Amino acid sequence: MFDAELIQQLKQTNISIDGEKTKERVKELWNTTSKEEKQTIESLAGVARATVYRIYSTGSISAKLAVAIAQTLNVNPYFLTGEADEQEECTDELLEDLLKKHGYEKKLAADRRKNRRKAPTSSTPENKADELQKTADELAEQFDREVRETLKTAAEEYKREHPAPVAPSPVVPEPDMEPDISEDTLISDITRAFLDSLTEDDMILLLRSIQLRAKSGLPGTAELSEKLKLLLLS
Amino acid sequence: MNNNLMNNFDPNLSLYTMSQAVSGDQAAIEEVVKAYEPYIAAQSTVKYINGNGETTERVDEDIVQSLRLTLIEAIPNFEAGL
Repeated sequence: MFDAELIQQLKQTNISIDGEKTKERVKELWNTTSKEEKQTIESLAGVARATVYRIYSTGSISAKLAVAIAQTLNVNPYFLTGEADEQEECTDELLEDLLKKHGYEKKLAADRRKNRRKAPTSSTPENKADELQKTADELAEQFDREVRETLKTAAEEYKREHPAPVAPSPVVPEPDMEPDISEDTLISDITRAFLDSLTEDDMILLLRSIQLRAKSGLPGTAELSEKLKLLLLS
Repeated sequence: MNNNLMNNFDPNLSLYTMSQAVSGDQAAIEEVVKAYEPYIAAQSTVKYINGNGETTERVDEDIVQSLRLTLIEAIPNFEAGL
C-alpha cells in the first residue's frame, strides 16, 4: 500500500477506459462507504469531496483517486477503471502494475528507495528495546570483565609479594617405630651437656608433658610415654 | 574454590548499581564488592601444608582484605562507559 506522499504526486488525468462502468461502480462503492473511510480517501489523495463526486457525474477517474479508493476500500483498482469486471481485492502488485502502466515507474522506484532509507530509523519499539538490552548486556559484561581482571591481577601481585611460608613438616614418629634411645644417641654431641644440666624438676616436667601429649592423642606419644615408664621402672 | 565454577559466577548486579558505583557512590561500590565476595574468596585461596603434612587450601583473610580495598579504589576508574 502507498502513503499519501506518493499518491498525491500522481496526476489528475483520467485513466478510466469505460466512463460508464467507472461512474456506476464508484457511485455504488461511495454510497456504502463509512464517513471515516471517505475522509481517509480524501486525505490520501489530497482532494476535496467535490472531486470524488465529479467521478460519478463525469465517469473519469484519476490515478491518485483510483489508488486511494482501491487501497482504502480494498477493491481491484482495475475494477474502478473499467478494465476488470470482478471487484476482487486490492494488492500491492495490482497497484504497482497500475502505476507502471500509466508511467509512474520512476516514482515507484524513488518511493522504494525512500522507504529503504527510512527503515533503519523507523525501528519498532521492540527493536529499540532489543538494541537497548544488547547495549546494557555489553556494558554489564565489560564491567564484570574489569572487576575480574582487577581482582585477579591484585591477587597475583599479592601472592607474588607475600609468598606463603613453607610450613615445616612436623616430625611424626611412625607408630610402629621404636624411639631411638640407644646409649650412643643419648650420649652423643650436645645432648650429653643438655641432659647433664636437667634437674629433677625438669625431668618431672618433661614426663608430664609427654603424658599430656599422649592424652591429647598426638601420634606416637602414647607409645613413647609407655616406653619411658618401663625404662624408669627397670 | 574451583576456578572453573568461578568463570560461570554471576554477580547479579543491576546496570544501575554498576553505573552508580562507577560514579563513585559508596553504597553502590559496597554492593558490588559484596556481590563479588565469592570471586574474591576464590582469588584469595592459597595452598598450605597442614600439621599432618597434607597439602590443603584455605582462604587467606589478608588477601581478601587487600582485594576488597583494591576493588573499592578501582571501580570509579573503570572504563565500562556506564
